[in-house]
Amino acid sequence: MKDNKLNMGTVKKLVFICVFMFFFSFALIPLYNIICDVTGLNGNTSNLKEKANTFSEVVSSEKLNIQFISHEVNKNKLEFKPKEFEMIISPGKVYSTVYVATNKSKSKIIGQAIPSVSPNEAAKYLKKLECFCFEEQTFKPGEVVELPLYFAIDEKMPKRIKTITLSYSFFEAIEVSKKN
Amino acid sequence: MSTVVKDTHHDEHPSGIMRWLTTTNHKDIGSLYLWFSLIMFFIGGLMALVIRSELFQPGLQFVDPQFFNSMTTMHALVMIFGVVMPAFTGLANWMIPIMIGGPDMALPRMNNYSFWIMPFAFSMLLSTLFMDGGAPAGGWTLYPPLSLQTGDAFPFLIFAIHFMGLSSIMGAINIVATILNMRAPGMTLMKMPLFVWTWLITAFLLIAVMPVLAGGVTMLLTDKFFGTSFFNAAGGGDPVMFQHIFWFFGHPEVYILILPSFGVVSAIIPTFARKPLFGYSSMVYATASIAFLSFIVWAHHMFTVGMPLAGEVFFMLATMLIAVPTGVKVFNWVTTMWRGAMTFETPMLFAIGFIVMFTIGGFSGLMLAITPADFQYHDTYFVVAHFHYVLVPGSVFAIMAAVYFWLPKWTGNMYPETLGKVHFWLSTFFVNLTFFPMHFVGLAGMPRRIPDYSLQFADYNMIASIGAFGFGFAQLIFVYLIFKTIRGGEKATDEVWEGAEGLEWTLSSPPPYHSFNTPPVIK
Repeated sequence: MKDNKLNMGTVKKLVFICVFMFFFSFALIPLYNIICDVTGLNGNTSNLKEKANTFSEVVSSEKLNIQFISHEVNKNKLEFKPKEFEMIISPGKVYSTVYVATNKSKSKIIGQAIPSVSPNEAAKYLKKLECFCFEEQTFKPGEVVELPLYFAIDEKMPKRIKTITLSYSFFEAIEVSKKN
Repeated sequence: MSTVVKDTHHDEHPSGIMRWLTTTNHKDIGSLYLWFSLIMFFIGGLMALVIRSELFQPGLQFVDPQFFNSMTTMHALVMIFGVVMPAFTGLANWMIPIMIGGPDMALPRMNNYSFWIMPFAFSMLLSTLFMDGGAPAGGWTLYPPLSLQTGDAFPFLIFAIHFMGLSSIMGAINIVATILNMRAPGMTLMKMPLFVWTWLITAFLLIAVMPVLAGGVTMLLTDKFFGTSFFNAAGGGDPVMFQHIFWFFGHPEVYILILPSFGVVSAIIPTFARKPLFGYSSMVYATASIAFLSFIVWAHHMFTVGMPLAGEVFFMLATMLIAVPTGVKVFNWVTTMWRGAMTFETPMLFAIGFIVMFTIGGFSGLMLAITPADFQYHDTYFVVAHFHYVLVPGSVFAIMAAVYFWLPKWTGNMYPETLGKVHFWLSTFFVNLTFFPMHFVGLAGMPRRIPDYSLQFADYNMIASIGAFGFGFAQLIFVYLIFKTIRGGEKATDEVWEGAEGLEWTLSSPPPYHSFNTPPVIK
C-alpha cells in the first residue's frame, strides 16, 4: 500500500512534466518569434516598421545594391513582379519603388505579401516607411495594380554588406481558410 | 502444505492468448516487447532491401520514386519507433526489476497497456502502405510543407506517432517509478547496475521530449486540416520552425536510442574481462552530461537553413562537447578490458564490435558537427553512413549483445555458441560492407533519399547493396538461434557466465515467474 502511494506521487510528477513539455512545444513558436524579433534574425522585419522613422538621417556616401525579387505561389492566377529588379542606393536616403500585381483570374483575390530580407543581418537596418506588405490587398478580376514601397537603409549598417535582397511572397488569404 | 498450495497459485496465469493479452508480469511484457521488436526488425529490414535493390544499379529498376521515398520514410519510422525503442523497453522490463531486486514493475497494469498500444500504432502506420496517395514519403523528419502533401495516409501517420509516443511515455514513467521506488533495501542509486542508470536517464529524456514531438505533429495536423498556420508562411508561420521543434525532440531522441546500449555494454564488458567496470561513477556522470547536452545541440541538424553565424558557432561547439563524455565512456570500457582475463563469447564479441564501430560513427558525427564542412555533407550519403554506424553496429549490436548475454538466463538454455559467433562475424562483415562505402559516395556528393544516382557512384552502391542483402540474411541465423535456444539445449547454470555480477544471476535460470517477492539482501 505504501508502495502504491509512493508510485502515484512519482507518476503525478512525471505526468506533470509530460503535460508541461507538450504545451512547451506550442510555446516554442512565440518564443522563437520573440527571439527573432528582438534580434532581427531570420530576416524577420515585422517589428521594425514602428521604428521606421527613428533611423539617423545622415546620408552616407557609400553605395550599395538592393535587389528585388518576388515569389508567386500561383502564377496562373496572380502575376506579381517588381518593376525594377535592382537599384543602386545610398544609406540614409529614402527611395521608392513599385511592385506590379496582375490578377489574371476571373475572381477576386485577397491576400498579403510576406517580406523577407537577405542577408539576415541587414533586416534590422532596412526601414520600410510604407509598404504594401503592411496590409491585406484586394485585386479585382483582371486588375493591374502598382504597389508602392518606400524604404531606406540605416547608415549604421555594417559596411561589409554590399548587396541586400528584398523578397516578397504573395499568399492568398482565401486559399488558407478553404485549403481543404 | 498450505505454502505449497499458495506458491502454485501464485505462479498460475491464464494460458494461450489470454495469458499474453492480460499479462501484467514484467517478464512476459518484456518478452512481448522483444518479440514485437524482432518482427518489426524484419519488416523494416525488408523495406531497407527494397531501397538497396533499387540502388543496386543507377536508373530506375523496380519501384517508382514515390514508393522509393515511402520506403525510406517508413524504414526509418519502423526501425526507430518499432525496433530499437521497443527492444530497449523490453530489456528494461525484463531486467530492471530483477537487477534492482524488485518484485515487478511499479505499475504492472499500465505496463500491459503501454505494450498493447504498440501493435495498434504500427498497424495504423503500416496500413498507410495500401492507401490512396501512398504511404508517407516526405522523410521521417516530416518537414512541412512536403509532409503536408501526404495523401490519405497523413492523419494515420500522425495518430500512429501519437500512439507510439503515448506508449513510450507510459513505459518511461513506469521505468522511472520502478527505479525510484522499487529498489531492494540497501540498493542505493550509486549501487545500481549501469544498465539501470542509463535507462533512468533515458526515461527522463523520453518524458521530456516525446510530448514535444506530439505537439509538433499535432501542429502539422491542424495546419493541414484546420487552417492553422504554425508552419505556413501564407498565414505568417514559418516552415523552419517545425525543424526547430522536431530536432528539439530529435536530438534527445538519438540519445534515447543509444544510452541503454551504453548500459548493456557496461554490463557485458566487465563480465567477460572478469574485472569490475572501470570508473563506475564517471560513467553515471558521463551519461547524465550527454543527456543534458542533448538538449542544447538540436540545430546542428539544420546548419544549412540560414542561421546566424553566432548560432552556428554555438551549436558546433556544443555538439563537439558531447565527444568528451562519450570519450570518457569509451575510455572506461577499454580500460575495463585492459589486462583483464578476457574471453570472447558472442555477447562479448558484439560488445567489442559495438565499441569499435560506434566510435567510427561517433567520429563521422564529429565531422558533421563542423559547420562549414557540414554544408558539403548535409543530406548526402555521408549522413546516412554516420547514423547507420551509430544505430546498426551501435544500438542494434548492443541489443543483440544483450539478447545473447541474457538469453540463457531467460530460457534456462545455452545458445549454440559457434552459431552465435558465425552470426556475429557475418553481421560485422556485411554491416561494414553496406555502410562503409556510403562514406565515400556521400563525400563525393551523392544525395540521400533519391532513387537514382550518377554513374560514378555505381560501384560503391552495388557493394552496399550486396552488403545489405548479406546482413539481412545473416539475421535469419539470429532468429533460428533464438528458437533453438527456447526449445532446448545445454542447461544454463544460475550464474551463466563465469565473471557475471549482479542480482539477476542469483536467480535460477530461467527465473521463477515471480521473483524477489521478498527483497534480496544487498551487500
